[in-house]
Amino acid sequence: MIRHLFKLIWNRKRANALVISEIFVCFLVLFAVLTQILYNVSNYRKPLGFAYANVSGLNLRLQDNEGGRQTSLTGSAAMSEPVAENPYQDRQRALLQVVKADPAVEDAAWAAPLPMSHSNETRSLMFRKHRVRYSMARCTDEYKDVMGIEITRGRWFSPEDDGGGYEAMVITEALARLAFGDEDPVGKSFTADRSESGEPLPEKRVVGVMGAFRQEGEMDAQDVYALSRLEYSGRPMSSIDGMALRLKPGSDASVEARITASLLAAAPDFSFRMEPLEAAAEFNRRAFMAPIALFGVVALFLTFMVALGLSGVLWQSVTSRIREIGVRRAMGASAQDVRWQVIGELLVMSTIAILAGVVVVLQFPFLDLLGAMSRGVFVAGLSLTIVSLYGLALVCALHPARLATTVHPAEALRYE
Amino acid sequence: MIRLDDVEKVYRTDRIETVALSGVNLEIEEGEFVSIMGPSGCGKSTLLHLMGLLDAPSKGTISLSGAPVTDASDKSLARLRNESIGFVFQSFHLIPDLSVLDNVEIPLLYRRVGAAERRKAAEAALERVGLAARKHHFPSQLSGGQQQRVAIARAIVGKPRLLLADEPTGNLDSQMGDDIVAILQDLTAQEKTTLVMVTHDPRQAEKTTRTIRMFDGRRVS
Ligand SMILES: Nc1ncnc2c1ncn2[C@@H]1O[C@H](COP(=O)(O)OP(=O)(O)OP(=O)(O)O)[C@@H](O)[C@H]1O
Ligand SMILES: [Mg+2]
Repeated sequence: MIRHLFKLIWNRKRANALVISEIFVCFLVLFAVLTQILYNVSNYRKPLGFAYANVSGLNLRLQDNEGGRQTSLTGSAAMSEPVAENPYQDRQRALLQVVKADPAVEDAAWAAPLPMSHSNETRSLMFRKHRVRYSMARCTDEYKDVMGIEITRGRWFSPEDDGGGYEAMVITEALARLAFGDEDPVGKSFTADRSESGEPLPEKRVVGVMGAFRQEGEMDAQDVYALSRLEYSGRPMSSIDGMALRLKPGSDASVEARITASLLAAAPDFSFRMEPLEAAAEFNRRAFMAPIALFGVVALFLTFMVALGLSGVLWQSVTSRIREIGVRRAMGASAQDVRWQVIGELLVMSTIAILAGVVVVLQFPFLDLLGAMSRGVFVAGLSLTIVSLYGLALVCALHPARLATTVHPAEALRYE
Repeated sequence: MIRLDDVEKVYRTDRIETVALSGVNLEIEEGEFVSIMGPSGCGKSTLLHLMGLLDAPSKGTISLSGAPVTDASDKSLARLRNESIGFVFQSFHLIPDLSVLDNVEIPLLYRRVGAAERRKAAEAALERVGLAARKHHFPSQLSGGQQQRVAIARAIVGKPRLLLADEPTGNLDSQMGDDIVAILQDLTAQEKTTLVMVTHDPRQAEKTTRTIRMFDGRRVS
């Protein structure tokens, strides 16, 4: 019977080509939307690596009297002149003390870029002859408690890293896997094979591993991440411009105002901007969801149109083939046989369109175009697309198939 | 073979009632070649549709091989049509999207028959009507007489015991009509198939073993 359906469809290929290409386009759109949704859901369900409830981010910058130049504690000088020692360390220690002195502040750390800040520091280096790309932030030792970071192997930064002549790092499990494979990275050096400029490279040393750190929040796919320890005396500290503050639960905007006021009193040449990370996270979620939701709605609309179209085409095909249905009934087809023929024809056409679609989308993994998407998500998205398309075809065929069963054989064969 | 008892058929459409058949009693024996004649609109096609289980009578009973079929389910009626009855129509009613061979195979699609066996049976049936050479043609590529021979092959491929033909020569010239009737005659002679043929042509009716005459929904002889 399947072969018979194939023959029927092949012999009516002119009329059926349109239906098949319609399903094919629908397949591609559904696949794009469903994998995108699954991809985001799977990211969302991954561990975030930190807890941002009751944490606020604080940004500081020099008052804008130099033509809007974005800068840090140092003004603009530090970046141009190589300084080994950080000249601002006393001031930085003092500012952190001001913050910590507020009764609503449980703990605070210097850190940049802050979570949900949309600023991204990426490093790309040749390590053991492989290119490793990762994102990173720098922070002082309080950051672990402020952000609730979980150490899975090794240890967090500690004063024993002071003046050790290396840069201490805590990396995510994902980065550990990427750089070190199955080896235990704790205590290992993570210094690039050679510097791009030829200068000798200071050692980076992995002191510990954390479960995850997806800086931009739940929708962030990037989990290949590192935190580098900031020493007050070190040069990187001189350009730091962010602070993370863990507040007591229930702290409100008045706390924010109070903290910025005391900071302003201590450093009147700066401006401070403080925002709960929760608000930034919410913003990120929305910014992420908006295009997906829009795309989803468009896809839903398109799918609906395709469904209407398929139903219509099938309906029309049934009414124009009443004679054929009558003949089949006279030859021994039951009403059920006729129903299944209509459904079967659409399912066969769907299968052709789906096969074509699968061939197209399989190019993505073969051409290595999956990006950060895992094979699992790809396969799940593909399966979900196939199932929903068959479901859609079945739903579209149901009504026309019922119509076909109502064809009265004697009447269908009466008119010449 | 088939027996009709006091059969009545009334068509009801928007207040108009048409009595197409009334009080028809009829029995056709195994192996008979019966023709049905009568003026246009007297109910011949209706009678044939009832005998072919394509429609149910408004009153009365129809029995096939002694068993009443009037209250049978759609499924068992379909099965009876498939296994016991073959149909030939005035306008052939071949499916234009299928090749000759695929058209002939249709009745076997609704049985548990493998593809190879189906093909063999269809080829044998086409051989029988002398069209084996045209099996890969499409209906539109055949003459009317050839199309009707394909339709006969399709009707006999499942080896039914009752063959119903509604004006099988109506759309053909007399030479081709003679060929068709000759094939049908041959079938009754060789296969002992029971044959009921509606015709307007007394010449064709003469070739049958018995002629039933209808007038205005009633059997007159
Ligand atoms: N589906 C129907 N609805 C209403 N009336 C019908 C229907 N089918 C047949 N009739 C009527 O029943 C009567 C018998 O029709 P039938 O087709 O059986 O005649 P016939 O003897 O085959 O005629 P012809 O020789 O022209 O083919 C006619 O009056 C016809 O109009
Ligand atoms: Mg008629």
